[in-house]
Amino acid sequence: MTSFELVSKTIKGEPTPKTPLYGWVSFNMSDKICAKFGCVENFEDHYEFDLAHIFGGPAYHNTAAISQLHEQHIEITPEVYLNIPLPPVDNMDGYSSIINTLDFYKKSRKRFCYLQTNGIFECLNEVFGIENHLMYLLLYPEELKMVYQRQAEWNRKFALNAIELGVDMIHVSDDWGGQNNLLFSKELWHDMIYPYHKITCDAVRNSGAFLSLHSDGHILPLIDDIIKLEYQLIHPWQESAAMPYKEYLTKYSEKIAIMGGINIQSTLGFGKYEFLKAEIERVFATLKGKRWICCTSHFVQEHCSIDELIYAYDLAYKLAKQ
Amino acid sequence: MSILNEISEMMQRGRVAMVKELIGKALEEGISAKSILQDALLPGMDIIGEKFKNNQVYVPEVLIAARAMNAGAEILKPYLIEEGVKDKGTVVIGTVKGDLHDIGKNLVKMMMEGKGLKVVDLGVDVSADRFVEAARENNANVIACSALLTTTMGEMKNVVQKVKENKLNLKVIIGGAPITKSYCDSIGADGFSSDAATAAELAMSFC
Repeated sequence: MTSFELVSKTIKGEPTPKTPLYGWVSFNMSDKICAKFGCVENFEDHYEFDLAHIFGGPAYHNTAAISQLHEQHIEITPEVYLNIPLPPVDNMDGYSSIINTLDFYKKSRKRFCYLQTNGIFECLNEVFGIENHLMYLLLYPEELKMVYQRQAEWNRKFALNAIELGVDMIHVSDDWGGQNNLLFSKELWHDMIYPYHKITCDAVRNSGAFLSLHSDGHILPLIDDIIKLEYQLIHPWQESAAMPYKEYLTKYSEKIAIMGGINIQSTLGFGKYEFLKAEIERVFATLKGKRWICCTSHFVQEHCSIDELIYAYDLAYKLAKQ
Repeated sequence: MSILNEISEMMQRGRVAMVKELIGKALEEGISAKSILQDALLPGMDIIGEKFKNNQVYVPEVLIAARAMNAGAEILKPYLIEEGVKDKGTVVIGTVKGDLHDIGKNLVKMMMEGKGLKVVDLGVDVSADRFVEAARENNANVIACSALLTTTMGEMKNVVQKVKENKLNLKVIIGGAPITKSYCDSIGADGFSSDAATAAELAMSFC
């Protein structure tokens, strides 16, 4: 069974001979991994990673125009932003890194390749600033909906272009959760966010590609709607943000897959090897075979030593195969 | 509805223009700036803080209310100086060294201002030395440290140590996603809070 088949079956909730394994290791750990393994790809091969997390694509806003306004201390309201055209999404020069990465991971490694894309909220935080953006949800709802509609069309085309190039899953990153609650009310999310996610979600699902969501924090009140949007996988299911695995297993594991389990906020990277071992074993005992892909909850932080990373992945690799 | 209630109501709804207009009207009617602050703006922010704590309102509602309160307080500032009204205390706040997250810290700041505290905001990536220096410069009652990352929360211990070394007569309070009561106790901080509204109440209790 190829990694692609293994991950596909896991997401669909079909029986598999092992647990798919992955980790967000390259962002902060590249130097340490390269010193030990020669390159990150060797580390990924060593542990037989089943997925590849791809970044890249054309710029999703006019960076020069936005920077100029920021430098002039001009507040970019939705109305102001609507006057700045978005960069072309069909300029294929912007896709070269995606094509190259797919060549490596999909063609030569047969891995399941998923592309990171910005969700409607996250991709505009850079333009407005997160605090202004949160206020605009209440202050300028109609204008913001026009901004979202325009951005959603761009995001939809971007996702479809990437799928045409061979990406297996569109991974939409949009942080909606705080430590114990949502950043905004469920009603506001439903009115302002849901319809503009739906545009990309519908397009991706109609194309036959897989669809996943990344949101940090507590998003439990939204899970039913996330499923309604036809997301098939959530990363992470953040146990430390009041999202118990029990809730997933009893209510949602029939409907949606999850990725995560190795918590970088409290478990991996603190030099407590016994605790780390116990935690990884606990998570495997709880989630193995339950539509779960073993992965880190976020990027491994730079305070993690290479020895600890190896210790964690030696164990996860062994348990994934059992 | 009295004009003070109206100001409070409009502030809670984030209506900046209405708050400004009503404050102008109240001043014309001879209501003191102190009364407008203490009987309209601060109680209004208290209500928002309480609702936030109870998950009845969320971050956007707090942000727009704080924006309206600041707009009102700006109008009142010269009158308050004239009336000799003093701040209820001074807090030096910042996100600790190595951590660039500021939304939680900003929410706490707004809630503290809503209690009538003077808040000196040092921003993000603030060293222990800088906290101590600013606290001394401003004769602060409280240092409030925020951290989102487990990797940076260790800096809070340095802040507590520096305060002790410098024998400053103030309290250190801490907060942020990874912070727990046991961590607070382990580093010898004076208090911890899991949400912005409680953090403001905690700071008030030390002023």
